Amino acid sequence: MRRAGNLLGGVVVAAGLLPAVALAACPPPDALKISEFERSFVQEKHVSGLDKPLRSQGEMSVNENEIIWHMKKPFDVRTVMNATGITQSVDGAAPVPVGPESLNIAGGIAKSMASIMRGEWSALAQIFAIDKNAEQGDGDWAVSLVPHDDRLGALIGRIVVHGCTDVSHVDIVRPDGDSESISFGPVKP
Amino acid sequence: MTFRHLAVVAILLTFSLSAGFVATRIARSVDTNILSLLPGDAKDPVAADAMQKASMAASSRIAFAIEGGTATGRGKAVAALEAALIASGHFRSSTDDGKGLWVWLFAHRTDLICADDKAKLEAGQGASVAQAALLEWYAPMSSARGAMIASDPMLRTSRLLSCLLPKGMATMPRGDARIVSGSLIGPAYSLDVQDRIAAIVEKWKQEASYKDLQLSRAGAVFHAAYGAEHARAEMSLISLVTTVAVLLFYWVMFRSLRAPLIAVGMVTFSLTVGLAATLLVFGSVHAMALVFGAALIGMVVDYTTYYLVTGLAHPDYSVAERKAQIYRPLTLGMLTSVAAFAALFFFPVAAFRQIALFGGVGLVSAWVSTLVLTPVVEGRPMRVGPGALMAKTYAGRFLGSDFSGRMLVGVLLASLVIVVVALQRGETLDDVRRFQAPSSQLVKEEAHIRSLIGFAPTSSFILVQGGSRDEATMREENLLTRLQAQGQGDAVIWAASRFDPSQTMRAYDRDLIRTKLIEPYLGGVLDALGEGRADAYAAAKDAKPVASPAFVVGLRGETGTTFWSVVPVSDGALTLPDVAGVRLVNPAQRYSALLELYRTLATYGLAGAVAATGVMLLFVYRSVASLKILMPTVLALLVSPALLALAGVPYSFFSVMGLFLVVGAGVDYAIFQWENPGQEGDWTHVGIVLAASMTCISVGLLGLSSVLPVRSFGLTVAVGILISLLLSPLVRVSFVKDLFGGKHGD
Repeated sequence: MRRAGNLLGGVVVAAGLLPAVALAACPPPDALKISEFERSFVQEKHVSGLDKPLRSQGEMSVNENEIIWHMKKPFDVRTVMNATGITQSVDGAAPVPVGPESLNIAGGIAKSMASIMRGEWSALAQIFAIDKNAEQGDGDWAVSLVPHDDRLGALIGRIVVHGCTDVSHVDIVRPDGDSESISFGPVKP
Repeated sequence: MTFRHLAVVAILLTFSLSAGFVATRIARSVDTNILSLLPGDAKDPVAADAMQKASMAASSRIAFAIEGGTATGRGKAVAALEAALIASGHFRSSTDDGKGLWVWLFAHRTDLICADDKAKLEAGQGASVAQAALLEWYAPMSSARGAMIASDPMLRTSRLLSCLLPKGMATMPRGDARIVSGSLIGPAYSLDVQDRIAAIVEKWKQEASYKDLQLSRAGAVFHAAYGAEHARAEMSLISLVTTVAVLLFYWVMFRSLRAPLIAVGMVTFSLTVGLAATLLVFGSVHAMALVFGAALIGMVVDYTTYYLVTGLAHPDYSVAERKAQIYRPLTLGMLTSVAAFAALFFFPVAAFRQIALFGGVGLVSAWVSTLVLTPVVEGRPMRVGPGALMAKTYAGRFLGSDFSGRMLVGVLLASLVIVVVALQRGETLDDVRRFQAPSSQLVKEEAHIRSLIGFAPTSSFILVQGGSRDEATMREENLLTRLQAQGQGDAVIWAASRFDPSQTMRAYDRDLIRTKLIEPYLGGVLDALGEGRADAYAAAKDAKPVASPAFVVGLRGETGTTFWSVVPVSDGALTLPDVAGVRLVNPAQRYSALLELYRTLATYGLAGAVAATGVMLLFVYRSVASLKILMPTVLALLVSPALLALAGVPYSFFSVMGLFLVVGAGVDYAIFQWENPGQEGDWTHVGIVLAASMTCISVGLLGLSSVLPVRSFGLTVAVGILISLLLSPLVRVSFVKDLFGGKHGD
């Protein structure tokens, strides 16, 4: 009986430790150290009033000088953001400067997205209230970002970043109920 | 009740009513706009109105940047500051302006179009415009919303918002800075508004939890408050020093506390009535007119001085005899001074017109109260104090001396040399940008905010005129098209016609959008989205009228039957295309040109003022010889600006304004000298010295002002008065006797 009790106790303790073991498999979000990468993505936008989500896919690549968001389906649009501005190339045509010409929100969002993928939480904390203890699942960590600025908050809502060794997907929930989910493939060698 | 008693009652009643009126109005009636010190353009009222409106629109903008600390702390600090500003009732957040603009653009999404999109539609490239909208739907974190599916699936509104706002304007500053921006409800140049905003900022700064944050400010309201703060300090200093001088001088002169108290009472009465009249006529009073009011102390106290001195000279005289002694010179002096102030009315400068009324009414009040009230409150005549004896001995000796013909020639030669050297070495100043040195701290903070939001305001603009609103708008559209064609389109910052086009343009664009974009491509967009209404843009036709955005209203105006609009540009030296009713306006250059013109005109006007005073003297004295009274004044008019120019105070329109007062007030001393020749004038000289000293002290203190117009005006009057006093014995010069003859030649 005592042995059985010890065994049961051991199981209980082991069971209690399981999440910790699983979590331990994922380094904390602060451990993200990737600065340059190329990853595939699949994005789904759930827009109220549309029965089906708007689904797109492509590749995102980030290096020291620029961020490239290349949607390949359903349209071929390559958007490049760097120090000189934002350009867009549709169907392989020559890149042209794009709007919003007078707003820097798009550039700001692109930079934020790059920072999210790089795990630059300190930099993001200037714009967002960051909660690294957001809801978790499957052993991954989740980091919640809510803009400090109410106007920005009304525009993009709340962002939740999920990941383990890398960012695996990003959920964006807007105040009006619209949402986006972007899932990233593994980092390409 | 005798006439005298009635007069006293009337004076006291006038004072009570004036004081009550001033007390209830002054707090919300002080204008601090530096433009009120600049001449209006009576010959070009459209340009004058446009400059005024453009200035008012620009001055209403206000922005704060909050940096440092933690992001959460900044967020709370921003919310607190914005809430306090809105609660004051003097602030409208740019968020509200943005909402108003969004509502306007949404209402006009089927008849407004971006220039680039228009070119594409005209070139038959509507497909690319439709595709851009579709891509926006798919872009991450884009502005596309579910609510737009039904009413704006081609995202026309957000597209218009992005292309119509000025290029380079950042709505979001860098991450560690937060911006609070908006516009003032109420004039930025009202002390009331300035005080409320300053109090909110000060209270915000005192909040302990914001100590680690840095606040930067931008907006005309802060510059105006800075100027007003200086004006207040200057006014306080001038009032204090002059009052102390009045008390001290009068006590030393008359060895009695009654004399200074009477003087202060007369000053209070005169200034109160003058200020009440100014507020009544103009509805407001400029801060610089108030500063001048403080300087007026030294001028209005003169009349009381002359009366009290008659008690020293003739202690055995009755009140009537004493009044008779001074009645004519006092009245003539008052009339010449009031005429000099009245001359300021002829120049279209709001603040100087206020000064003219303030000074004129103040002097008349001082004259009335001196002749009616002073004898009542004086009691027994004053005694001779040590100061009076000293003044009689030294100043009286000088003022009572006779200038020989040789001395006159010496004075004339010296004056000539000074004037010639000043003409060669001195400078004139008409450039408005040098009038007031702004606060270096505010300039620094403003530059910082500009770097954060990437947008620099400009004062230059293109003025477009037309016989109707639509004609003016069409001309503006033509102008924008031509500027774009000659590669200068980027110089245009805002244009009302881009947001609210002419009827013709609106109809053309509506048709273009309908036939080249919506009808051929809306279906494809809806198919790609999988949902949406084919009549999404039909509802826009029946939409209720929406109020024009505030900034569009601020860019347009109407003067008489002329409709005009202002197109702010970043390049003040733009080459304008040949479009009817269009011209480039640079307010700083325009004001400077006006100041130069008025400086020249006013200088000629001085000759007229001297001539008018001469006629007045001839009328009163019926003697050509009385024109000798003008000699000290004429020399003062020539020498004082020359001396100041050599001392580094440039000759400006404001110097000439001061010289008009030299004509009016400076001639008083010569009149008293003329009226009281030889030994008879010993005590008169004491009165003259005391009066001139008070005027020089009070008006001369304006020389400490940080505002060049005030400094220049004050120094010119003070130096001019001093020279008028020193040269007043010239009325008895023998050389003049040889020329004109007459009993006063000795």
